[in-house]
Amino acid sequence: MRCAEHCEVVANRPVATNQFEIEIHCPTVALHAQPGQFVQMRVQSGYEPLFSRPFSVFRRFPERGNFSVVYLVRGAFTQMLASKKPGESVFVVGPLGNRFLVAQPANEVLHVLVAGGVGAPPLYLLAEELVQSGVPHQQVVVVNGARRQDLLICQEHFAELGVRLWTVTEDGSAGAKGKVTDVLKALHERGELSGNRCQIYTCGPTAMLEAVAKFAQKHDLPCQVSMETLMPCGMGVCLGCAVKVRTADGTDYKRACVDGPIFDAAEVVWG
Amino acid sequence: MSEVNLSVQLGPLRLQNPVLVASGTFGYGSEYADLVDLNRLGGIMVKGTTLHPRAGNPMPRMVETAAGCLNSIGLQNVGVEAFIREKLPFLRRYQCAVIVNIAGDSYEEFEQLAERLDGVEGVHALEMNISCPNQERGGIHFGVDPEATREVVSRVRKRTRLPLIVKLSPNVTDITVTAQAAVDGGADILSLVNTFVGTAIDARTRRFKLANITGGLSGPAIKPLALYMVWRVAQAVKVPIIGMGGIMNATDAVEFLLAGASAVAVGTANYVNPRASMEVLEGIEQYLREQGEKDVKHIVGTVRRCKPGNEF
Ligand SMILES: Cc1cc2nc3c(=O)[nH]c(=O)nc-3n(C[C@H](O)[C@H](O)[C@H](O)COP(=O)(O)O)c2cc1C
Ligand code: FES
Repeated sequence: MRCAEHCEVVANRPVATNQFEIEIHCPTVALHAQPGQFVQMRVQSGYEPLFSRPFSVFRRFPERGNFSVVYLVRGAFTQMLASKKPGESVFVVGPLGNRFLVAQPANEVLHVLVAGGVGAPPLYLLAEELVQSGVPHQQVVVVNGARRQDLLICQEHFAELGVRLWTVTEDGSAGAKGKVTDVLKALHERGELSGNRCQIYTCGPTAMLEAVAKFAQKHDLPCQVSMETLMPCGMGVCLGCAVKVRTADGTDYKRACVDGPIFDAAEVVWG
Repeated sequence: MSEVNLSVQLGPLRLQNPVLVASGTFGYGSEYADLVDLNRLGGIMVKGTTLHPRAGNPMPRMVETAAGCLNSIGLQNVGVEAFIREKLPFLRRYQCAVIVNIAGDSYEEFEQLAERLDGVEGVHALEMNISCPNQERGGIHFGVDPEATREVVSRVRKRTRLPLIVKLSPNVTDITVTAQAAVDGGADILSLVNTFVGTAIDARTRRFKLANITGGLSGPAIKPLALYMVWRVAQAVKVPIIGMGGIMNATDAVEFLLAGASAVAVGTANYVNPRASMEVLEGIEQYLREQGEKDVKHIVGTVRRCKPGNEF
């Protein structure tokens, strides 16, 4: 089930410096969105910019028929989004794309969620689903990384879930100083990561995804990556969101919007 | 409320209404079927289809520009056999016209495509993409050269009994020349325009924004150019025209009808709003009611000169 409709903004609240969570009344997305899926949102009335923008679903409130996304104000589009007031409307198409697949048996697997900057929201939805479905808290590890403290997203929400949260920033302004892969290395050295008992899920900037994917490959760990591309249509028709993948006889292009955004890291051809 | 007749007859091709969706902007219909009632569309022009599957160009393939976008997809498609086997059965369930957009690198490829699709159940017309600006050897060669245009159209004409639409390239000095060449070759219908060749540069990184360097411009940015070309071609040739280029809403579509198009195709707008084609259809009907028109045919090509003077 998906929809394409004008939806009412219920709340648009700051969650950290320059970060907002916008809650939108849209029963279809509220009921059907799965961790990793996204919506296309349009806030502009003219043609500047022309296309909608994809946002991963962050939280669902099925009983109120609402969902939310988190965004960082960093360009013209997100500025317009930030200016939306409760009662005003945004155009929503979704939910779109595939979801993170929970490794089974879920209770025995160590689920390692690696978030970079604005990549955190869909991993929050996944962490919430894991915890609510009864996976023990200590089986859910979240590595939340960003360049600086003010670019870290969803920190409090992860903390409230009670999962094992590792925070890391490149300049050391929050948590440990370093990169998300440093945390993965540390976990590996402690013997916590092994191929048949662990699953990595990651979302964030492409360079980080590549680093995480290569780490996973090196240690033979299963890894799902959420690919970020321009998404002109989100419907699978423009072919502007192509991701290069390995096939039996070479390489091919898949569409991030419908074949993804979640891909098996081993399948993706990087760079 | 009085009934408005929306059906149109484009030469040998009958459409239940004048609103189509443009090739490359609506996939094979199934992608939109839960959001758009395909039975209400005039027709679907499917993604450009080649003899063999194509992987397409490297990324980045698409970039937003002022009120538009550049694309260099490179005709990524499943190929004609997979189209017939995997995509067409779904489309047969609907009553809208199915128009197969074909593209080839050579006369022979066009001929083979036409032959393969002739008589296939559920295909209502062919649209020849001789104007695709992305292929180094292909489209650009035919569409900008009147003699090559006439030749490729007449060769295809001999291989098919299907209504034949020729899609014109706007990347020419005088589009009426290639329009006439297509008609001379045997085109039943002309569609225009395809995308305008352009490029985009990132000043900060000093690099082109597209891997392919150039791409085809579409969207609202090209509407005045497309409208002008439709009007020119409508003056120059007698065959019906399917107008497109930057149609975002019903008013845009009506402007193309007034300029001389008998039908319109919604392209890039499908990306912006999946229901754009339905809104265009509903809006045309409403416009006709408001104008007291009973038949959409009656407004085709009826644009008049503006009133002289300073009023605005
Ligand atoms: C991403 C993209 C892919 C396209 N693919 C094709 C194609 O395969 N064959 C074709 O004849 N035209 C193709 N077109 C051109 C459109 O059908 C249409 O002629 C053009 O975009 C102008 O209309 P618009 O401004 O409403 O989009 C494509 C356009 C876009 C934006
Ligand atoms: S965004 Fe258009 S095909 Fe994926």
